[in-house]
Amino acid sequence: MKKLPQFASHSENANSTNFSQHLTRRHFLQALGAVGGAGMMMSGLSAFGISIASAQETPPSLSGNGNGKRVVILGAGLAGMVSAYELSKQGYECEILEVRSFAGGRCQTARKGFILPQLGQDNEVCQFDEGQYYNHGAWRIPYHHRSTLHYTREFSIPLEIFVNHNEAAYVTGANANALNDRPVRQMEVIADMRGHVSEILAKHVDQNALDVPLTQEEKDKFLEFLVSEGNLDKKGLDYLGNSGRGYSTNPGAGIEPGEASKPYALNQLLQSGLYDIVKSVSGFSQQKTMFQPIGGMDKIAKGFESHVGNSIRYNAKVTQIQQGEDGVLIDYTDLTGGGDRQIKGDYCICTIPLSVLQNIESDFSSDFITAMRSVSYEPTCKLGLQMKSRFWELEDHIYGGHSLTHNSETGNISYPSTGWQEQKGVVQGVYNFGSNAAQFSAQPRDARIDKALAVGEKLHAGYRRDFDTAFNTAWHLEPNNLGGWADWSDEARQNSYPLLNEPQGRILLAGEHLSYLTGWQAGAIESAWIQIEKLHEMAMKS
Amino acid sequence: MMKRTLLGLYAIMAGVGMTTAAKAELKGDDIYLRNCSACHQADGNGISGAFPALKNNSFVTGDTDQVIHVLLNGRGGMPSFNGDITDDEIASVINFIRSDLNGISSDMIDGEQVRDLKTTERQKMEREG
Repeated sequence: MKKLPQFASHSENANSTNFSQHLTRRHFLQALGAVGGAGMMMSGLSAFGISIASAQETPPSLSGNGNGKRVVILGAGLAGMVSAYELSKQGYECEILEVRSFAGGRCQTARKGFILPQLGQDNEVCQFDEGQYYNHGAWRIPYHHRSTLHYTREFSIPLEIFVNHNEAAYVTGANANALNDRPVRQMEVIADMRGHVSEILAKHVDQNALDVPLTQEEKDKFLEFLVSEGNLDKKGLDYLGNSGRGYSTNPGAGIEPGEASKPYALNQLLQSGLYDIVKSVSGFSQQKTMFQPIGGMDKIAKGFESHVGNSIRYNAKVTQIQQGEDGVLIDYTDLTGGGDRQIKGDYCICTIPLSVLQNIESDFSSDFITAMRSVSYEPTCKLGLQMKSRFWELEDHIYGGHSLTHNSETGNISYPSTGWQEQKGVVQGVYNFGSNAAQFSAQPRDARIDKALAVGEKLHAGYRRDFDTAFNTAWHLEPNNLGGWADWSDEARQNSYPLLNEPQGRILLAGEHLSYLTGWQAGAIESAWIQIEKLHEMAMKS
Repeated sequence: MMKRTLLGLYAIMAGVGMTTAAKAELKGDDIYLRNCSACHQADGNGISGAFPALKNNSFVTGDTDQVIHVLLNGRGGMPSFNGDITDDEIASVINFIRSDLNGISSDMIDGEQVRDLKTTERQKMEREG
């Protein structure tokens, strides 16, 4: 073996164009075995050459005063409330129309009594115990989403760590039984894969079988790295195991030194198919350090609401959007029985998801309407399971993070990063996408819960035993969203996206759909920042 | 890269043994209920303002290749079903939608037509790509 394989041939960035021709984006994303959701999508999107950095840290600094010019904002999600909050500071008079009876958009938290409408099905009513909650929409804030963190700081919203990475959580599915009959912890697979790879490389280096030009000194350093990286035996360069993969018997006090665990063989690991969870570092959107507001994601919504709540007209369903040379005219229905109404403004910021907006009557140009229709919205289901005990902590010693299931039908299992060691907790048992989500949501509610329990009970003795009550969501069936988030094809990004970012007369769109951070709150916030700057510029010229 | 990703996906499917692709072929009406009914509804009437009705729908009764294209690639809020159900199942569900929901008995399609379209589209992309 003179030539060793190229090191970088399997990176997410390799061969991006080629591969999009053969695989649908979603299939690729599912095959990645990443944690899921928008997060998973985002890490996969880097394969399409799309940057995901949160680029703006602070709102635009605007000079000049809006002098009471009236801005009608459609939607009291984060993009809408950011717009109202910042423009009000600048002297604009803002009025927000919100179809729901509460603010926040997809920044929602389900608690006892919360009702989620589902098209074609019964409303989902949350029956958790008092004090239990579940972030069924936005659920994570990566540390580098500085725009989101700008507002949590500004509104003094206490945060706690969201455990996005826990190597003690399980990995299953594929052919996991090639490794063990019992559930396998991620650290076992990670330690052993890296150990074996390091051993093979180290032996090649040591025997001068590596066709890479390195000086003797460099080879020594490379060996030193491999010994450390793979936890190899220094003399024989063998991988003999790693305490980090866990012990058979843990070390203890007295005469218990502990018993080392035996690594899996490389061929076992390859046969298991579980090696795909091993990555050199976390993807940019899947960072280990993430946050969540203490008490529920909707604390962010409440933070904005405490500042702009007086400007929000709730239960206001927009039915028509028109504009003339001197202003915009919005028709809406007051869903509380107030009938059809109209509101006028000098400008409009429309944050309604494109999936919904394209069904609303408007006088947008045909090009603009065509552009709106070129985007897809991701079908996605989430299922929260309130459990009678925190068996994953007590029995399995898993504190937060995700168990990776390799089951695209239900997705991964995520453990709560709050309420440690309390009596009960809510586990996320399902997070799926695309056709899997369409199929899942077509099943009766009980069958969905049963499917989730069937996956989890293979990992946790307590999973079915201690199941209490579930909160079921299908975002594509939520009438005010019709999908989890915007999913841009490369073609639509190129041909339609730029136009949608441009002001249409006196109307500007904003929201996660107009960002490269689709599905993240930071996308909504930063899109609003960009659009209010454009609005202000227009207003100052008029 | 390509191959490895595909194999990975198949391994996932085989491992869980739950995808329709790995099971015996289903009939058109069953496939419809499993995959389409959450949005387009069991009766095919859709939900106004959200999901189009497939009953009395001129698109689904039109050019069959265009209908296959949408099932393979998705459109709007609709996901791609390529790989989640077999080519034969895609043909079966389209036949069901055209015949049972729209009363069209001509132009029944088979999995071969789905495979042909995939090949044509892939070749087209490779030419343009």
